[in-house]
Amino acid sequence: MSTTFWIQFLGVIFGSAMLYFTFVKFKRKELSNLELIAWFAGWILLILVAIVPPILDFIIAPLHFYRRLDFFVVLGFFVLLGLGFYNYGNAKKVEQKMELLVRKIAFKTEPGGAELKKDKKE
Amino acid sequence: MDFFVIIPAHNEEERVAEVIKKVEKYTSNLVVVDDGSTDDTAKVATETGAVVLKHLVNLGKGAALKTGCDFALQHGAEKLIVIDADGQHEPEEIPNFLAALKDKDMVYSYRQAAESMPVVLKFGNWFINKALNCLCNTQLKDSQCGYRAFTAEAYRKIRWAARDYYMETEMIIKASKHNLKYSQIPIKTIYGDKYKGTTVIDGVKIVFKMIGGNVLR
Repeated sequence: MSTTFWIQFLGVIFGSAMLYFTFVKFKRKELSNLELIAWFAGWILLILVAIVPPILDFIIAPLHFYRRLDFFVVLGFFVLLGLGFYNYGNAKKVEQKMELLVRKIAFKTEPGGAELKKDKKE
Repeated sequence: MDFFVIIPAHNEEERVAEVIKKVEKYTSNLVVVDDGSTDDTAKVATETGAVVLKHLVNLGKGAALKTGCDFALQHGAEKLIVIDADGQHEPEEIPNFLAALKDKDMVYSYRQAAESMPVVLKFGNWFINKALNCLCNTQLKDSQCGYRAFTAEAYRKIRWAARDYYMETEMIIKASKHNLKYSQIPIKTIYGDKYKGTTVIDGVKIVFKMIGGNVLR
C-alpha cells in the first residue's frame, strides 16, 4: 500500500462529501446552475487528483517541489489566504450596506417622541 | 435652530431618561439614537418626549452617532454636542462646550483623574493619547473621551467611517488633517457600569486601526 494511500483516501471521501453538500444546496435553490457546475468541477478535480496524483506532475515538476504533498500544502495556503481576503472584502461590503440600510430605516421611520422645538435659551 | 445634542444609546433603559431630563434643561433639540437595544431604551426615551431614532440592529457607537448627527444636520443644526447615554457625562457642562465652541471648530473634553477609573483603562487611555498626539501632532489630554462638540461645518469634514469606538480617534485624525481649530475643557466623569463602554479589546483595536488604518495612509 502506498505511503500516501490514506491521504488520497481522505481526499476522495472529502471530495465526495462536498459533491453531496453542493448538490443539496443546489436542490434547496441556494446555488444557481452555473455555481453548481463550477463547484462540481472543483470537487471532481480534487477527487481526480487524490486518485491519480501524477496528473499534476506537469505543474509540480517545473516548480521543483520535493514531494507532491508539499505542492498541495503551498497551494492550500494560497487558496486559504485568497479566500480569507475575499471573505474579508465581502464582509466589509455587507457591513457597509447594512449600515446604510439601518440608517435609512431609522430616518424613514417616524421618530418617536416630540417634534423638535426651538432652543430653550432662545 | 442652533445646537443639537446627540445621545447614542445601547441598552441604557435605566439611565437614559435621567440623562435626557438633564439635557432638556438646555435644549429641546435632542436626538436619541437607540442602537439596536434589546431592552426598553427606545420606549423609555420616547416617553420623555425626546426625538428617538431606532437602529434595527446594533451597529456600534460610531454608526449611531453618525445617524444622529446626519439627522441633526438635516434639521438645520449649526452646532452639535455628543454625549453618552450611560450618565458618565454631566449635561450641566453643555454651556461650557457652547462657550468654548464660539471661536473654534471643535471642543474636546478631558476627564479629570477619577479615582474610580479602572487602572487598565487609565493605562490604555494614556498609551492611545501619547501615540495619537505623536502621530497627529496634537496636544490632546484625553483622546478617548466621547463628550465633544463641533460645528456643522466641522462635522462635514470629520464625518467618520468607523462604526465602533474607533470613531473618536478617527474624528481626531480627520480634524487634524483639516487643521480644525479646537479647544479642550475639563469635565467630571462618573463611572457606573464597568462592564459597559470601551474594553481592553476595543483599545487594542483602536491602536491597530490608528497605526495601520488612517495615519499611515
